[in-house]
Amino acid sequence: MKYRHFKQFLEQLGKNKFFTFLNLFGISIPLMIIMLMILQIDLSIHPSGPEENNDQMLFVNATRIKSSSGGYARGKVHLDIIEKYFKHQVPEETMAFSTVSSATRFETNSVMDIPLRYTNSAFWQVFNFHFLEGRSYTRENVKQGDQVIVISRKIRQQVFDNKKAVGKTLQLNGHTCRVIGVVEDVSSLGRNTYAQVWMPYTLRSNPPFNPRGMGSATGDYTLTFKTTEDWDFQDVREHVATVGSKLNNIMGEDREFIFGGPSKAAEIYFRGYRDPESYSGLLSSYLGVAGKILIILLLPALNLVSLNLTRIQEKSHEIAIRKAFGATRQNLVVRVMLENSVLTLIGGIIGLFMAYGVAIAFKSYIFSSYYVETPAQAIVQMNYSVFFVLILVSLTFSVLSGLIPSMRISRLQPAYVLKGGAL
Amino acid sequence: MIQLENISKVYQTKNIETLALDNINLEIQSGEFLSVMGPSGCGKSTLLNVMGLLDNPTKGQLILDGIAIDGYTDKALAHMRNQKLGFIFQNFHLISSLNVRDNVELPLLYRKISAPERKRRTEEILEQVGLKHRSRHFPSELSGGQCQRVAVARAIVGQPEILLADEPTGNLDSKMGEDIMILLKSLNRDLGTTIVMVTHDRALASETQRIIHLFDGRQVN
Ligand SMILES: Nc1ncnc2c1ncn2[C@@H]1O[C@H](COP(=O)(O)OP(=O)(O)O)[C@@H](O)[C@H]1O
Ligand SMILES: [Mg+2]
Repeated sequence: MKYRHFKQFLEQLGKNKFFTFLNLFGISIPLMIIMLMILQIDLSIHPSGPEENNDQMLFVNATRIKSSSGGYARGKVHLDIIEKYFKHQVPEETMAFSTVSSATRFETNSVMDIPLRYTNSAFWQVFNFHFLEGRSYTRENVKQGDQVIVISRKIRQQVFDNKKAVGKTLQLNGHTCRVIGVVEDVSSLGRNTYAQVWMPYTLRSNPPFNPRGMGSATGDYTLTFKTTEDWDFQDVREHVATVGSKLNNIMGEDREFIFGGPSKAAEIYFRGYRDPESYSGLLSSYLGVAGKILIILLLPALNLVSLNLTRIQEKSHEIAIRKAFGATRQNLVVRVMLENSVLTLIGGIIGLFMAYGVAIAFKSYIFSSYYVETPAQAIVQMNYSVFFVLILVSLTFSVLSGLIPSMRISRLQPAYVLKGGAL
Repeated sequence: MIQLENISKVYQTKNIETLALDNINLEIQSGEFLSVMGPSGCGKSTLLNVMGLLDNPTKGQLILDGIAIDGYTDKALAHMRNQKLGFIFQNFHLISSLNVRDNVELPLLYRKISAPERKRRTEEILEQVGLKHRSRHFPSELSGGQCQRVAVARAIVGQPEILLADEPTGNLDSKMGEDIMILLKSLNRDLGTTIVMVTHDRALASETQRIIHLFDGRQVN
C-alpha cells in the first residue's frame, strides 16, 4: 500500500468513526477472548516455576474401583499402594508424591488458613523449587517424621515480617514445626506443587488400605514420575500397568481396579475430574479447543463480511468513479483488500493489547481464582505463533469477504453504478 | 477519432424497456468541438457514456481511434479511459472522502507519473480553474459551481485526446459558464482536444463547430 493511500484510508477511518469502531472491535474483542483462553490453557499446561519441566513428567492422579453390582469409588492414590508397590520399585529420586491439605494457624486475633502440602523428600528433586533460604527436608527427616517445614516467601512475609525464617518455629495443626527452607512463591496453576507450606507426609495419619472397602482402597495422593534416559515414559507406563493389574487381582472377582494414568500434564488438565475411561484423549481435547476458537472466530468473520458488504455498497460510487478514470479491476480489488487488511491488522493489534490489559487487570478472575504472579509476562512468553495464526486467519477472512463484493462491483459498468445501480 | 455505427441502447428494467439510443450513426473527427442538444431524457447522457466507455451499447459498434472496442480486455479499456478520455459528469461525481487535490489527481494515479510531477500538474490545473485555495477542502465543503470546476479539472488534468462533457455549465451561473467555455475552447484550439459537450444552452452550442440534435434516442436534423 502506498503511503498516500494509507494516509487517505486512515483519514477515512477517522471520519467514519462509527464504522471504524464496529469493525475494529468486531475483530479485536474475539481475538482478545481467544488469546486469553489460550493463555489460560497454556499457563495451566505449562506452568512456570517448579513444574516448568512437566513435559518430562507423567502423573497418576486418580484411581477408580468398580464393583460388579454397579457401585464405584474414585479418588486419588492410597498411600499404602505407593509404599508397597512404588516406593522401592522405581528409582527413588524420580518419584514425587504429595497431597494437599490446609493448616490452621491461630494468631492473637485472627485465624489463618494456609494451603499445605504433604510430600515425600524426592518431591524436592523432581520439581525445581527456587530456595531463598535453607534447604528442603531429607529422606531421613521424612523417615523419622521430623517436624520440619518449607515455607513460601509469602508466609515468611506474613509471619516472620520478611526476616530470616530458617530455624524459627511455627504452630501448625498441633505440630510445632521448624522452618528449614524458604522457597519462592509458586503459582496456584501448578497443580502438583502449589502450597504455602510443605511438610513430610509422615506427619499425617492415613486410614489403612482395605481392598474390600471400596472407598478405603482409594486415597488422596498424586504421584509424579520424572522420566530420565534409564527410566522413560514406557517404563513408567509398564510399571503402573503392572501394579494396576496386581491390585485388580487383590480386589477380587467382583471388583475392578483402574489407575487414571499415567498421564501427561495436558491430559490431566483436559480430563479434569472425569473418569480416566471416559476421557477420549488429547487429540480430541485439542480439537475441542480448536472448535471453540473457530466458533469465536466466526464472530469477526461475520462482522467483516457484513461490514464489507455495506462498505462496498458505499464504496461502489468511488469504485465506479475510479474505474471511469482508468482504474483496472485489479487496481480496485487490490485496493479494497489492502484496506481490509490494514483494518484487520489494526484490530488484531488492539486485541493483543486488550488481552494484556485484561489479563493484568482481572488476573484473579480470568485465571479462575488461581494466583498468577505475572500474567503480562506470561502473555509475552505465550507462543507468539498463536497471535500470528489468529491474525492470519482474520486476514484471510477479511480479504475474502472484501474480495467477492469488490470483484462484483468492479465488473459493473461505471455508468450503471453511478446512476444508482449496485450489487 | 470517434465512430458510432448503428449504436442502440436499451435499458431493461423489470417491466419497462427504454430505448435510449436508436440506431445512432456518427463520426467525430479528431480536433472537432461538437455539441449535443435535445430535450431531457432523449439519450444525451447515454450517448456520452457509450462514447466514454462507461456503458455498453446494446447493439452496434464503437470505434475509437480506428479500433473497435468490443474486443477489448478490462486492462485495455482501463488504459483507454485513462489515457484517451476525460469525462465531466452531469452531476460531478466527485469522491466525497477525498479532498479537492486528491480528486483532481485521480486520473494521474493510474499512470506512471512521479508524485512530484502529479502534484505539479494538479496544482497547475487547480490554478487554471481558480480553485487552488480550495485544494485541501472536501467536496461537501464546496458550492455546486466549485464542484463543477473540480470535475472539469479532473477531466482535463491528464490532457486527454477526447473530452466528453455532460452539461459542464449546467450548474454554473452564466459568467462562470462562460469561463468554462473559454477553457474548453482553448483546450480544443491549443491542444487539439476533441470535445463532445452536452448542453441546453443555445448560445454556448452555437460557439461549437457542429451541433447534433437528439430526440427520443434518434439523431434529428
Ligand atoms: N439506468 C437506467 N435504467 C433505465 N432507464 C434509464 C437508465 N438510464 C437512463 N434511462 C432512460 O433512458 C432515457 C435516456 O436517458 P439519458 O441518456 O439520461 O437522457 P438525457 O441525458 O438526454 O436527459 C431516459 O428515458 C431515461 O429515463
Ligand atoms: Mg443527461
